[in-house]
Amino acid sequence: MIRMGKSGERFGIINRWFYEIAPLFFLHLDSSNRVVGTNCFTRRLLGGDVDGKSVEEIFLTFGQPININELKEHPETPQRLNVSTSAGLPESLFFHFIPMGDETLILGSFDVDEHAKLRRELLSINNQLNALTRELQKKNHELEELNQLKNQFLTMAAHDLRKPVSSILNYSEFLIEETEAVLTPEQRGFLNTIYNSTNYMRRLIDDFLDLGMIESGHFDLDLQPTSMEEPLSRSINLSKLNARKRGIGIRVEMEEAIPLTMMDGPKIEQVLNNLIGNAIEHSNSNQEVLIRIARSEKELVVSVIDHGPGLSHEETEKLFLPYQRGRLKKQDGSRSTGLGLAISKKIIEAHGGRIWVERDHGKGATFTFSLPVTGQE
Amino acid sequence: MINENEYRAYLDGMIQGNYKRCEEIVSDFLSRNIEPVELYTGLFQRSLYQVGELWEKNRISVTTEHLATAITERLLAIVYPSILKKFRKRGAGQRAVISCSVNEYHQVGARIVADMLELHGWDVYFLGANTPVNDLLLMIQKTNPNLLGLSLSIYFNMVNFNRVIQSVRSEYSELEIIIGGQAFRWGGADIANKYPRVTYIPALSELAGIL
Repeated sequence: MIRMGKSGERFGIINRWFYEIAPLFFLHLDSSNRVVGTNCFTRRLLGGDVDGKSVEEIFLTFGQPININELKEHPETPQRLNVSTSAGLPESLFFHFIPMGDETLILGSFDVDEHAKLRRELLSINNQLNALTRELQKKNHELEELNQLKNQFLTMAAHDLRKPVSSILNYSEFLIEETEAVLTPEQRGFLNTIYNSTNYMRRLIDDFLDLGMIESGHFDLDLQPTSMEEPLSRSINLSKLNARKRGIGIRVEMEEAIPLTMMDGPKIEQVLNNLIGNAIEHSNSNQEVLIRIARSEKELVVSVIDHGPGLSHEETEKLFLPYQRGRLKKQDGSRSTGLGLAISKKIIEAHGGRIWVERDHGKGATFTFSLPVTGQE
Repeated sequence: MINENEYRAYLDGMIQGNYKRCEEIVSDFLSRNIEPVELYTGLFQRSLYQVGELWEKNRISVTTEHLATAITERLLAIVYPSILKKFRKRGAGQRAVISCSVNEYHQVGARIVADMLELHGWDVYFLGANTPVNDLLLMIQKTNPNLLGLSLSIYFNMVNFNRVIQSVRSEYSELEIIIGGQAFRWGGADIANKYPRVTYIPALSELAGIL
C-alpha cells in the first residue's frame, strides 16, 4: 500500500478507488527500484503480480538501462516507454516518475491521441477494403458479362460454321474412298490432309457448341436410371478400332452388383469417349488402357488408367480448364481441341459428381469420375 | 419474409460480434430467395439503426458499434453479387456519385444507397468514407453524374458536411444532390432549403420515389 501516513475517511475512499478501480498505471518502487506496490489496473495490464520485480523486468528496455534517478529529476515531463502486456502486445504509455525520498512512484496513462489515430486508421483501412471489394465485385460481374457475350458469339459462329465444314468433311471422305485408283500418292496425301484438318475443325466446332451450351446455362440433363455398362460398351465399341490400329488393348474391371445410376447416358458416354480416347492417344503400342468401375458407399466410381508418359504437376492443375492442352503431344501426333476435359468436368458436375486426375509422371495417368448413388435408382 | 425471431437472432449476433452467425442467417435468406431490397431495408438498415440507438443510449460501446458495422459491410459483399446479377442490365444510363464528407468514417449508409441505386439500374461511383472535397469535385468532373448523394451519420460532422455542399453547389450549380443519414435525426435537414436542387431523403424507402 502507498505510504501516505494517517488519513481521514475521505482519503480512505480515494485510496480504495485508486487501488481497485482507477484505470491508471501505478507502481511504487523501493530504494533499490524494485516494485513494492501497485494497483489492480496495472496488475491486469501486465498480467499478474509484479511485486519484487525490477523496472528492467517491467519496461521493454531493449538492453538500455533505465536511469530512474534521471527520470525523477523531471517528474512533470511525461516519458514515453513501452511495457509488455498480458494481451501479448507491447503497449506505449506516458509515464511520470515521481520522487518520494529514496523511493519512486510511477504513474502512467495511455496516449489518447495515439489511440484515436489508430482507430481512425483501422476504420479507414476497413472502409477502403470494403469499397475496393465492392469495386472488384462489380468488375468481376462485368467480366462475366463479357465472357458470356464472347461465348454467345463463339456459339453463333460455331453453329454457322458447322454445316459447311461438315460438307467439306463428308466430300473429302467420299473422295478418299472413291478416287484411290485414280490419284497419285501425293494427291491422296493432299486429300488426307484436307480430311484430317477438316475433321479437327469439326471436333473443335462441336466442342465450342457443347461448351457454349453448358456455359449459357442451357444444359438440361435427361436423367434416367441407367447401368454404367451401357454407355461404357458403346464408348468402347467406338474406340476399339482406333485402339486396335495402334496396338493398344482395352480391359474392363468391374465389381459385381454395380447398381443402376441416375445419369444422362449419352452425356456420360461423351465423357467416357473423351477419357478413353485420351488414354488411347497418350499410350504407346502394346500398352493397355484399363477401365475400372467400383462402388463406394455413396458413389459409383469410374477410372480410366493409361500407362503413357503421364502428366506434370503444372499440367494437372490446369487440365480441366478450357483451351488447356497437355504439354506432351499425343502419341499419334493428332491435335486436341483443349475443350474435352473442360466439357467432361461440366457434365460430371451437372450430375452432382466429381472428376479428377491422379498423375504418375512417366508412368501414366488415372482419370476418375464419380456419380452419386442415391439408393433410389 | 424476414420474421421477427430471425431479425432478433441476427441483431444478437451482430451485437455479440458473431460474424459467422450473421453470415449463416444471411446465407439462409439468400437460399430462400429473399429479395435484396428486403435484406437491405428489413435487416441491414433496421439493425444498424438499432445498433446506433443502443450506442447513443450508452448500452453498447463504440467498439461494438464499429464491429457491428464491419459485420454488415462484409455481409453486403455477400448480397451485392445478387444485385448485380438481377438488376444491373436494366440501367437507364443515369450516373450517380455517392460519397461521405470529409471526416465522416461511417460509410455503410452511403454504401446501401449506392447499392439501391444500382438496383434501380443506375451507374454508381461509390467514393465511400472520409472523401476530401477536392477528390469529390474531381470525381464529379470526371463522371458528369446526374445525381450526387451525400451521407452523414455523425451529427458533429454537420459543419464539414455544409462546407462540402457549399463547394459542390458553387462549382456545379445544376447538379441534383440528395442528402441523408442518421445524423439528421438530430436536426440539420433544413440544409436542403439553403441550397437549390438539394433534397433531403429521410428514409431509404423514400429513395425509390425520386429515382
